[in-house]
Amino acid sequence: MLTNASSSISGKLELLLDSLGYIMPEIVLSVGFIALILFGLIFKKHAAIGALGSVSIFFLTIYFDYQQWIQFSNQEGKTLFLGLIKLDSLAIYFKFLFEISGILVVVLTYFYTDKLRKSLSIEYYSIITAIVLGAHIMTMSVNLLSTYISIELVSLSSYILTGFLFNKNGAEAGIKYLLFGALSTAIMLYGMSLLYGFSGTLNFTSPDFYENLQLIPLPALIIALTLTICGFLFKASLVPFHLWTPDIYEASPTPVVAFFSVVPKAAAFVILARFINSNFLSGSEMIFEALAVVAIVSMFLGNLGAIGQKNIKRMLAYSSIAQAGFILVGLLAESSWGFTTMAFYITVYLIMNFAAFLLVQILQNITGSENMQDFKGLGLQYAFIGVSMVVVMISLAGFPPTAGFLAKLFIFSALWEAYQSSASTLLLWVFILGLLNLIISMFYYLKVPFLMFFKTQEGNRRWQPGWKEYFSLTILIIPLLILFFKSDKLIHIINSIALNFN
Amino acid sequence: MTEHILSALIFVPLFFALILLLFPSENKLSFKTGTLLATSIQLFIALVLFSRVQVGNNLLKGVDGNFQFVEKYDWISLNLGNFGRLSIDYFLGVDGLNISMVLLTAIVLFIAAISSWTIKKFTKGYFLLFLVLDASIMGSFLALDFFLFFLFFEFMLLPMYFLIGIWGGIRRNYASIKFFLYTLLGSVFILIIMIGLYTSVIDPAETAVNLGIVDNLKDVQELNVKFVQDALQKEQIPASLQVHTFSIPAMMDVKNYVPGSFFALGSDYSVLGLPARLFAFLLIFIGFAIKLPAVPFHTWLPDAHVEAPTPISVILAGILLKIGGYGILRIGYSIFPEGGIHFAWWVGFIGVVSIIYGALNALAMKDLKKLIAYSSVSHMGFVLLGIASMTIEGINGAIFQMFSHGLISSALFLVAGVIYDRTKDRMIENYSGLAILMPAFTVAVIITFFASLGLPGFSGFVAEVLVFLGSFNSAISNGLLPKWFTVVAIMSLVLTAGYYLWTIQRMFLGKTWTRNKEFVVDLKDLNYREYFMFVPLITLMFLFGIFPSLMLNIINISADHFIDFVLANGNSNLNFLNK
Repeated sequence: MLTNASSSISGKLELLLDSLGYIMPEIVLSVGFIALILFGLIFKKHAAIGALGSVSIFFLTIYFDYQQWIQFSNQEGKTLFLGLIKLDSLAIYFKFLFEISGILVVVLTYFYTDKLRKSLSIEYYSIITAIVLGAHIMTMSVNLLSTYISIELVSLSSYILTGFLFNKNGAEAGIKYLLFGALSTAIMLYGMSLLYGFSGTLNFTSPDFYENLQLIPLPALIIALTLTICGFLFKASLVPFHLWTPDIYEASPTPVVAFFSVVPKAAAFVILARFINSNFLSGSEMIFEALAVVAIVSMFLGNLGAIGQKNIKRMLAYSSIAQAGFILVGLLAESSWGFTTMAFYITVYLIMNFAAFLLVQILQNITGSENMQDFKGLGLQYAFIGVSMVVVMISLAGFPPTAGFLAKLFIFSALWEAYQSSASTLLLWVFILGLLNLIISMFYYLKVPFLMFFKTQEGNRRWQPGWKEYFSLTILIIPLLILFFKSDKLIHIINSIALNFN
Repeated sequence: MTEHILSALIFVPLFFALILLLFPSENKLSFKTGTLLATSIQLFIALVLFSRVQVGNNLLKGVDGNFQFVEKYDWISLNLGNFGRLSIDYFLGVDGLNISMVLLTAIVLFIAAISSWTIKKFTKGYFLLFLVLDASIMGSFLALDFFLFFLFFEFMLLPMYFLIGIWGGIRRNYASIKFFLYTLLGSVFILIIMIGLYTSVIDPAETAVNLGIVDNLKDVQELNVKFVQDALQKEQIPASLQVHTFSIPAMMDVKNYVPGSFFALGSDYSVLGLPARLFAFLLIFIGFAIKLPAVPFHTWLPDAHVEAPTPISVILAGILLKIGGYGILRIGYSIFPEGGIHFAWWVGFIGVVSIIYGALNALAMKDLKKLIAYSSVSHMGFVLLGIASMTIEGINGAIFQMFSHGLISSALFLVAGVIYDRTKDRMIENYSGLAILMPAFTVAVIITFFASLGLPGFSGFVAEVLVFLGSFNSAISNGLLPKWFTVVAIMSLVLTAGYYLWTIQRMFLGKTWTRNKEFVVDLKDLNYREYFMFVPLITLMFLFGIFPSLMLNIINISADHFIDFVLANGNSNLNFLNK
């Protein structure tokens, strides 16, 4: 929304210049991204520079995030660049998560003893930086244009990363991803252009947007909104835009998969929350009903799909579809407590998913295989890895005493509150079916520890995990337990960032 | 000063587990002795606790929050925005409903620790899991906060899953997964109700503090609580100031339910045609009936029992099943008393069916351990029948039956274990005339079998007679159960006697013969370790058979109060629902 003072060119320019001061983290990321590419041209053989460089970029970004956090934790957000993006504590919180993911993915890559690390070039790290940058902008977007651009930045970089093993499978997966992505982006763009046509503004949080849309006949509005939301569903890998997930996860390098399963997803949920929260949707309950169905179907398809999988990465891919369904439950509650539970869930999900993929990485290194049948007996051989696997899997399944249990408990109690105040039968069904899904999911989450502990197999162990692996595992496992016993502080922080639904 | 005796019961095994974690896995003896030491300390604490429980007219009325040795601390306290606050407490306490179970847990785990001496595979892992299981069983009996209870209750599955799956018999994989998923289904039912309950219930004392009526939780008077409850019922407390709680005593008071919430008394909600509160009772009941296990939710039990290693079978039959019965009392009947009255006929019916069906199955079993497993189903049916009757004899009988069955079934599974340890074969038909080979063992078996079939002089007799009296009385005093339930249940005594006597005749009497000739060499009589397990158990069966008042004196007060509470509240709630 433009004020009088800013309607003149010079006024606008001044606002733009003023905005620059608020995007230090993004500037660092962009500069870092370009610098890494340039370094790549000069030091072709020294991929370690890329690793160090990207980690230091992320730490620097965390520093600037922290500065912003101090400034914004107690005040309203600030709209920047003439309504393109909005910087608030919500965005900053998620930015922290993205940087942590960025650092973790570099750590995971370090453990990748396979072909990948040797063939890695600095570009690999620069692309990761680019995805983090895209996710940053996604969480701040309050404008259809910036939404589109940031989603595209994340997507294009993801297509490249998918094929980074430079083999046949990788290339195939990359193309598949590209095709699915291009299609869903096209759909989203079509929806966005309709919305723009209807409302005359791109800023979806502005009152103009809402008021003008009220004048549009409901069917047309629903179509436009649905098409737009499709793009978000794709990024969150929710049904019916989940089809790409298993194939991409299977073919991509493990660290990249861990990254894919967390960062774009979290960013997509933030943008979905912002989009839905901007009050124009309050009238169209149909969207919520559709999302409720999406949540249930995602849980069922994800969990049932995972049961039959033999490849652990495919299994985790289906699990991530189901988890996305659970996260969506937080939005269905349409309350700030619901949003808090969603953000808490995403935070926990980040930790447990990275832990899961770190374990996959370690097991892959030991056995040289991604097939779960080859993990037989490993739990007894490497007790610590086995126990960690149990903790991570029960956390993913939502079993006490792990943070995963608390996350599910909270998200379903938010849903229950919503059901109590709205008495919508659909929400009750989401509640009951969602909880029954816990049992289905337990079936395959337990499969890995089951094979690791209950079966024995002699196989050649090509590699022995060292203290670095154990150390990083511990770092990831401990929060999963601590957050169960003491989540007050984190919830308190998240409460302060929660979107207000009214 | 609050005492930490209850926490000690939970944390002693955990503490030992932590220390044993540091021991090298080659040092197998250290894990065995460490676990034995932990369970003996626990048993000692439990005995001290048992001897110090105060009995008197105005004591032990658990329903009014009159618990003893209470420990209550804030654990998790969250701001839910518009929905007020959420408070989860570390809340422990004992009354007549759980004190016997606590003592039983300590006894059975002590015996199971001795019985675990023969574990050879992955000793370290086994004993660590054993200790964790110990803590979580103890915790679920002591917890008075629903969340805390659920945590222990659900967590218990995990060590159990591994204990069966790694150290079990041939079909252990199948049995452990079936056990896990089956009981998880029950937990999810309970979880559904738990979420619904805590959003409906407030803690009046903490709400008083939150409202600013009182400064400190310690200063809250009964007057303040009443005031808050009145204000709540008049809808004067805005949602954002309510403090929601998981405390079970708070959930038992209908005045703590937010008006218009799902489980409030006047709630208009109904699920599948049942009013919300009755539906909740049903789900809770099914959840715990799976654990109990009651027919038709029992199919996991024979598999789990048969495949589990002996000490784990002992724990499973001795204590784990009792959590089902205890949960029905503590959560099902206490929180939703009208459900207990409305569904009394069905609860009793399931009890009777379990009694008869379990006994008939036991009669048909060829595997000794399976026979004992089905006898457990049959005996746990008495617990349901006793509970359903809602008479003083019935409730006393049900709790006493749980205690007594804990002792007897532990001994029964040890019997199966003794044979299995020696020959790895449990088929009844493969043995004959063992009395000559193993005279001392045969005496132990005959005593245990007779105790289990309800011979006077043993604890099982007292429990069963009380249950029969209670269920028969019910027809006269409160009309909840028809008389034929008791008649049919009593018939089961014949069946029980049938399968036990027949087993004794087939296995122990007659000419010595075994299917495999080498068995004769292996079948040596009891060793010292085994004496050490059987003698205490048999002594206790006698002791509580001859002096049941040792236990009943304590149970009785709480049971009496429990019945008054359930009947009064249940009937008034039911009247309210029917209006």
